[in-house]
Amino acid sequence: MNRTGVGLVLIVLCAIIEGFAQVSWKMSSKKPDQHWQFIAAGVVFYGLEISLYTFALTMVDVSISFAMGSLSFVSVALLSRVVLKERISLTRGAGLVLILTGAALMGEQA
Amino acid sequence: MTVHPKQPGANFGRLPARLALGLLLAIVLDTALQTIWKRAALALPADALSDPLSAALTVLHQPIFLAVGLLIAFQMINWLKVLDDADVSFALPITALSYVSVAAVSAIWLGEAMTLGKACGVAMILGGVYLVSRTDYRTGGGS
Repeated sequence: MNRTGVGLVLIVLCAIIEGFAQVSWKMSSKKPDQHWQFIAAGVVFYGLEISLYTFALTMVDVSISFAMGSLSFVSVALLSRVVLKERISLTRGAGLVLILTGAALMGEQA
Repeated sequence: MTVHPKQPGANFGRLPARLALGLLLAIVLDTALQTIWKRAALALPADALSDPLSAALTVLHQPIFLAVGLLIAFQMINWLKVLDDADVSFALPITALSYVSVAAVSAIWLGEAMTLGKACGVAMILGGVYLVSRTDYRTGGGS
């Protein structure tokens, strides 16, 4: 895989990690007895995301990497569905499909 | 004031100046952070990923990464202030305009290519963020 390909994989990974960070913070309000453990997990996920995103920026244009970061909307929605049992309405589903398509288009431009 | 638009007592009046300024600042901070972060990343060695330790040392010696850290902190503080005054579903699609401003500034300042494909991708993402934000603030899933 070339550098651009690695950069794109890192950006997708960052979006998935962002999903875990957001779900961890939501869990911190749902599980008061493990509040600080989930806050800490969220901070660790964010630290990892910031590091990987920095590496991604060495390989991909920022106009592409920042826009593809919107994939975190998709990972947050899917993880919230699986872990937190939140519903995905038709409107939100349509929005997620648009974001996925837009992000794929951006990736193709890299 | 965080009032859900569909509930009685919702605010439909003029945008308060403080909120308008906060939203504008969110877009400016997003744009500055992303483009400066890219500039900072370019200071890293080409094989940074295969040698993360020396990359971390480079980060510590480059003042521009301090600017990145400060901008991340300012951005979070400002975002929390914005959310004090507005619903997420209102604020998010507006600050998503930073997808446009980052593309514009990176083209002017960093010389990145602005293609029709990129413009279409950004437009789709903007539309997607708008639709995602239109959902009710709570969709179930227990307390």
